[in-house]
Amino acid sequence: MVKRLILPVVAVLVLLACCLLSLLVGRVWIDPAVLADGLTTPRTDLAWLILFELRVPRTVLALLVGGSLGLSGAVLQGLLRNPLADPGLLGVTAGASLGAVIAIYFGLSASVALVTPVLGIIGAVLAAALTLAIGRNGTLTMILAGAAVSGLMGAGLSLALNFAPSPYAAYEITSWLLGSLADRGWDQVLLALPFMLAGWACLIATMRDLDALTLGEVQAESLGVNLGRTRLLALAGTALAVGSATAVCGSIGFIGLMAPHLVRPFVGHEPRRVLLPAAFVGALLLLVADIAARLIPSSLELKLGVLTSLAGTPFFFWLVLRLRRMAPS
Amino acid sequence: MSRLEANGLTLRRGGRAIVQDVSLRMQSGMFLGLIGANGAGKSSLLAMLAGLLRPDAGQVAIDGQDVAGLSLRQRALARGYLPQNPRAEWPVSVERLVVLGLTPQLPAFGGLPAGLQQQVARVLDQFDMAGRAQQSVTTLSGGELARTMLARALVGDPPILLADEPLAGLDPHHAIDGIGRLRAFADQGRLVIAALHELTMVARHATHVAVLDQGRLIAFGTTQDVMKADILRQAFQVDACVTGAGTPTAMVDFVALARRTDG
Amino acid sequence: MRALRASVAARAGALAPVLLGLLLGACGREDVGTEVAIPAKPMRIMSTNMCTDLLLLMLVPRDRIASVTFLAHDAVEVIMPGADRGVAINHGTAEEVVAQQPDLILASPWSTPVMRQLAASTGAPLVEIDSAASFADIRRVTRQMGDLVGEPARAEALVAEMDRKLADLAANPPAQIRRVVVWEGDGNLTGSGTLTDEIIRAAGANNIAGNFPAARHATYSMEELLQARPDAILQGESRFNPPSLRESAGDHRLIRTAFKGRRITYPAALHACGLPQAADAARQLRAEIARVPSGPAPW
Repeated sequence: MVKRLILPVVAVLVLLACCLLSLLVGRVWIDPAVLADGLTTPRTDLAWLILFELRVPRTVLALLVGGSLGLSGAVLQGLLRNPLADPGLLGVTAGASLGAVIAIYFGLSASVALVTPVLGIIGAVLAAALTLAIGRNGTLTMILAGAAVSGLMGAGLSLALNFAPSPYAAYEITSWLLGSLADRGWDQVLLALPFMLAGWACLIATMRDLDALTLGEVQAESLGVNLGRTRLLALAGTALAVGSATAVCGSIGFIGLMAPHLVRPFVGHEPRRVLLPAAFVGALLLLVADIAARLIPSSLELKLGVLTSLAGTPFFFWLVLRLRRMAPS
Repeated sequence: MSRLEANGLTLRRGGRAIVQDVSLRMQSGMFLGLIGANGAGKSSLLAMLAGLLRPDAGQVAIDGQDVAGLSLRQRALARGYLPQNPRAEWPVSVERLVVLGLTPQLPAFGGLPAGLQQQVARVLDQFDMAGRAQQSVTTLSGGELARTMLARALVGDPPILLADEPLAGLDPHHAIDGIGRLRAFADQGRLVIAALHELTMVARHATHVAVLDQGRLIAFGTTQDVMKADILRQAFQVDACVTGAGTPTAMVDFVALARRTDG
Repeated sequence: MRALRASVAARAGALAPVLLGLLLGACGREDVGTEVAIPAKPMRIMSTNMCTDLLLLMLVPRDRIASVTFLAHDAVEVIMPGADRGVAINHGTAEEVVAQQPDLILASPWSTPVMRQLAASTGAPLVEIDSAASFADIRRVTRQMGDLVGEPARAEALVAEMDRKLADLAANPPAQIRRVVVWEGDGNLTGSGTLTDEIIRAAGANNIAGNFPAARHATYSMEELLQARPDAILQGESRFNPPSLRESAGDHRLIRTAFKGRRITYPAALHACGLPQAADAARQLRAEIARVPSGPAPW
């Protein structure tokens, strides 16, 4: 019993340590003692402003976004029983990006600040719905539909870039697409949170069905699993969680792919046991990546999405090699 | 006492009738061997009987109730279903795989209740898998995996079991073991329907036999009545010699006519 | 600077302003057009750069202008409403040069090579006008343009007007030198060597961008902005800028609360293009700064 507790306790301690580090790291060095003092006595001084208006929301957002990515990655891998599944694979990320870019392109974000995230979620939902509608017959068709929808959304993004109202807008769109948590605040947290919570509820509701899918679709169905409902929940949940995440901080790849793989050696392969740990590890991964993005010295801050891609690609190669080695058996 | 009835089941795919106007009445205690040549429609008929495939015409009733009117969970509780070559998609343990068979019984939230835990232990023991309960299913041999899957299908103690070629790929020892378990399950008062290719096994262990030929039911009755040379000739295009059908020493031997069976 | 970059890149086809920044520094002044004789009083002048558009509209009557760029209109509406009524527009393409048959083409030092070749082959003189990053630049460029289009007196009057206003500002310095910095939300630092920096100084304020570790147009973060405690932040007015994302960062909750009453919007076109009206921008800025609450930032 004690042994079973060690791992979760260590994980939580690591997460707490990273949260603390995230509050300490920034372009301005603030004495930890001053920060601690700022924590206990709210007042409008520099430490308080930087801590509560910048670093705390940034940390919270990293946890929420990373958690959403990890959770939806785990659900999609369970649903498709494909270890390469990832929100990006089903076109959800591209759809969210397109929605947000349309908001920027048509200047809707200027009139109402919250239009960008809302359109991002709408884009994600539409992309997910399209993937679901075309690929509802099975796993392979769904992956293919996801690729097609990703392509379509990518074409839309290119079109938006092509007709960007000014080169500066085009530059902004491209740099926004790289993904970042810099200078985000409570506005973004409050906006994304309700959608994320709704998305998490949908994703967690698939838990039992995903377990049954371990036996394949036919047996799962024979055990009373409504596969149509499961697919709908998984895609709607991914669209809500990842759509809102993408809309507030751009597209961030590989977290959804990596997190489930990193937890399986510790919790086993049952989808039910993978889900929450994957969300936890996704949050931790993104937080660490964001701290690294802040720590790596550069005149322009290294974009978070670029960093996760740089770190994620070797992992992807390793995964493909491992799958190839396992394939003949 | 469970009854399973099929009335005029028809399934069309691409303008062709895969299953045509099949009516069957089955009840507890029967071990029905469903036989027929490749492509005769055995799998489609089983899937329709299990309520997994909607027939284009006709209906399936369990205890007089139309299956189409039952919820997915009610169907799951009423019958177990084992498809052809069942596989595990993730390397989970034997025990966890068997527990999945209890999905329709599980409460909406929380873990496995103690009563069900005992049921799992019992069925693992019954299928000689208790010693391998914690082993990953991907490391099992074919026979062990088949036994595990059978345990999975039976753990919920469904009154009806539908199995699609449960003996496929098993060596003679494990095949005999497997069909013996199916028969024992029927003898305990359940209804077992299995699509099978091993005609001698059917002649020895099945209580009843249904024969499909190009989607049509050409014979249905006790093993003794159905496992006859003329019926097998029509269904399989073979010259068959059947001795002692319905007894533990039955033999079915055959030579090809125009077309050979893959049996 | 922003609008200038925009117009430049629209023609150059390049997208990254970072690269353009390099181009700005790298491209020298090279008068390709001098090979062709420039008419003493050109009658069909084509401007292919937003900044020369604006100067041109101030210097010559509209009937002598063949076309200005499509980017000019929004800035014209702010600086001199209606001045471009009836004037044709161009998108800086080579085809338009052929179609509009100008007798003088005004361009920036980074116009496309295709355009230069074409201008040379059609016989239209192409003159490259520097961008102005200081009041001295403005005087030089305005006079150069005046000479080119045959209106030196008009140019001289514009320069004199600017110098009179600047002298007026210098003669009546504000009681208190306030510390200001440009915050656009994209983290770009507008430091010394920019026209904005000169305008801030002419307005009698202190541009604290120089206090940040990096020099011209490097980046800084919101944390550093807070730490620097400026008395006010300057934000470019977006009326004639296409909508953009940086506004959301410029409109961050922290900025709204921490700089309440301390956010000054400035007409971005006047800071982007070196025009004689830069003196007006300085005047306007001084008035705005005077309205900023006295005393240091509250945090």
